[in-house]
Amino acid sequence: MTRSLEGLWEGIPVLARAALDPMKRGVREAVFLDKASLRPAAARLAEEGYHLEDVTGLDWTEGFEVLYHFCLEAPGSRIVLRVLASHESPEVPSISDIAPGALWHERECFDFFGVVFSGHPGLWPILLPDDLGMHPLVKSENSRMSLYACLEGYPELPAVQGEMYGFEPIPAKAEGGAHEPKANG
Amino acid sequence: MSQKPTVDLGGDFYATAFQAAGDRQDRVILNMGPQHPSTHGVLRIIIEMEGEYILRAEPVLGYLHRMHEKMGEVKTYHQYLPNMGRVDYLHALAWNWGYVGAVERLAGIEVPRRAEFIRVITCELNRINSHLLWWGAYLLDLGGFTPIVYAFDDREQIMDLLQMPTGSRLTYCYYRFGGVRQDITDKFVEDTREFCKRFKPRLSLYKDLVTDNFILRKRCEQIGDLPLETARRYGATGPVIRGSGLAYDVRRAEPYSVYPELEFEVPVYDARDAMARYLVRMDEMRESLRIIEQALDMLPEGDFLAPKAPKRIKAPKGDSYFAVEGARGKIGVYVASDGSNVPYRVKLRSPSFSNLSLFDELARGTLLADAVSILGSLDLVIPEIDR
Repeated sequence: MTRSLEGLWEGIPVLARAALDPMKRGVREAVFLDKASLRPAAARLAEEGYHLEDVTGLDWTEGFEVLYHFCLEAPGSRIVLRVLASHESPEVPSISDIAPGALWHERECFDFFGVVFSGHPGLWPILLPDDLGMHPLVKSENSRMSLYACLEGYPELPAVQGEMYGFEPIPAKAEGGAHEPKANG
Repeated sequence: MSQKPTVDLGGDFYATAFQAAGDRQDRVILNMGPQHPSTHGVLRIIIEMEGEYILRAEPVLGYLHRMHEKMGEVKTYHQYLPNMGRVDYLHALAWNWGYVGAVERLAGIEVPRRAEFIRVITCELNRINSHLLWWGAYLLDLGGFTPIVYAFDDREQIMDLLQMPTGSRLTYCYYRFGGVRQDITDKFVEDTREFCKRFKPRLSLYKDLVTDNFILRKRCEQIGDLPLETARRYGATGPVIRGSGLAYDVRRAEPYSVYPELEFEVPVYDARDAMARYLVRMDEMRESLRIIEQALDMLPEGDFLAPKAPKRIKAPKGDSYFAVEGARGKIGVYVASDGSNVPYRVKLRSPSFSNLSLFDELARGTLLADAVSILGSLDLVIPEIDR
């Protein structure tokens, strides 16, 4: 627990950050990452004393988004890491060696969405039968919503350009003024 | 899974996959459950043993899986409420709270003060109820039959109490977006006070007769040593992590409702064993009583349901997360909305799921008989794990 909230992501490429009001969202900060920086980000949080609450998925038009909720033992400290994987090859690196709590959560996410967590030591079905042959939380084409439509609710986010988390680039310095988190509510 | 089993003993997918990892033939693979009485429901555990000692254990879940999360995506916000009583039948009101809390957060619904107090009172009564059943059943696992009869005597009274406002005895569906279904009556308040008065000496009785019992101590002390770091890495919460020396309670760590106004301790024990987890729960019942008595004293007049609470919820686009402290730990509900009257996604974070995931690490090197004690000390509710 050495880094301040501001310096938390130092050295880790982050696509976008949104400082949120924990009283309204239950989350202090949403961090959008590409797959390559997921593991370093999770390792950083584990280092700082955060524990993994859950791993869950969301099915959008743009692909499967995997959400990792991390939390400290302090009020309003929840941080969510968000990673996007395509529908065609839904693959995300496993963080189960960093946070073993993810072992089962990733298996559950694999069950429900078919997202493959590469590097997971035993990615077997956990809640569903092994011969089910379907992933129940995958939505049909026309019931899918765009991720960016949902993100409209985040005025704190930088504008989106294009697809696949194409946010406006973050200023090189992590302490960029525009993304300064609000005081905890 | 890729490796072929050295000895093909048959069995289903899990049994085969489990065997494959072992290369020695003098070890026994034991299938415990899914009907084993100490698993309290339908949990199955495959265990590799050498003599009486456990080398590896793999819980197999899903026998009670109902896909509540899918149901959340096809029902309107209100229609999904009764599901919450069925996720964890023992602490149904905490799940009620988790879900209504997440939706209230998302839709920006205010809850009247009286409703918050009613929620605290009923939720804490439900917590005592849950701990009592755990207590009785745990002792049953360990070979003591009588305590569960006492526990059910007390539980009966709590269920009579909760039946008054909620109308049901087990799978409650009482909280609504913006308050509760109906107000509590004077009779409920009176009877709850009466119950608190009666229950306190009962707790002392349980301590004298059961907790201090030599045989129970032998079965629990220094069994299932859980270092704090392991507990944290697996995301364990509730009495499991508090038995490892960390005072982590969502009611204090991430305060919600009127809990900040109420005085109560978060019981912590440093012993890290099954007994520590046992003692945490026993102390928690006393603390819950304290909370209930304070809340009854402070109970304000007013609305039990916000007058402006929407009859039909249409949450704005976005998502929210709400955590509450259930009897087994941190219950988290994540709701994402597309702006319609049906949630786009509901994620239920169940505490027992995380608590059980460390069982393999906890059970390694222990006796099989102790594994039963360890399993019980985690306080598993299978429908909550499987959802």
